[in-house]
Amino acid sequence: MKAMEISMSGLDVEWRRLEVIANNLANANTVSTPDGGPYRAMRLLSGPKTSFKGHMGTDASGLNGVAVYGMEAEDTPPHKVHEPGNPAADANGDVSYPGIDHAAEMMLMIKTSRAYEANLVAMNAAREMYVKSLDMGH
Amino acid sequence: MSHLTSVMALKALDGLSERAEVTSENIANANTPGYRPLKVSFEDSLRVAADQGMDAVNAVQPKIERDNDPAEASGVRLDLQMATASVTSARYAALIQILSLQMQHARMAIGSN
Repeated sequence: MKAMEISMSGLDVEWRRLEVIANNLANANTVSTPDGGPYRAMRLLSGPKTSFKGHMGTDASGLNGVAVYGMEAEDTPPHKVHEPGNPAADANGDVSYPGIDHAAEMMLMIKTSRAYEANLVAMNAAREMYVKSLDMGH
Repeated sequence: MSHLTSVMALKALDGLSERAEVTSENIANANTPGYRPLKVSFEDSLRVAADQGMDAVNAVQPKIERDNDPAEASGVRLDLQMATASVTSARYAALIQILSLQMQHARMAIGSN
């Protein structure tokens, strides 16, 4: 049953998206990173896992579920807070805090968790079909 | 029950299992920007083929195409897709039931008494 594998790929991608969001929120106050500068919010890029044939075709061989394409840093500017006593302060006594949009992160978190649940529902529907087909003839 | 009916039921099972795959694919891509959902159609062609006889029914293949439903224009509607998933599963179960009953009848006919 390919349907269950497809739903599984969806579960995997949404789970990883949730991890990225959790990481963004956990680092909301991280002012310095190994790369220098404050932490930057990350976004998981995902899309259909298809072959060329899958893009062209109208048959089921193009259905391979979803895949993680990569990660991208958001380019929201950091916000500066005047904290002269902070060791991370610059020459003007300002500290750059990550420009994380909390509302956007929360919204994305809800969307991600809904998508995760939907994948579970689809997976259960497919599993029921599979189990039913084993019942045939009884 | 005629042989045609059971062949049609098998074809419908094929179509429904393909629809389950496509629905899973749509839901898996719920957060893919710009993704246009797919749909499977086979009922209409199966109905037409039923009037033309066994060969036509055997030739029916489920068709996967982009869904042009305006409700899905701005991306995947999770509620509609989840509804499709459960309807597909229920219909599949019903068809299995029909085929099982048919097999029971056959067994009864074969049975000694």
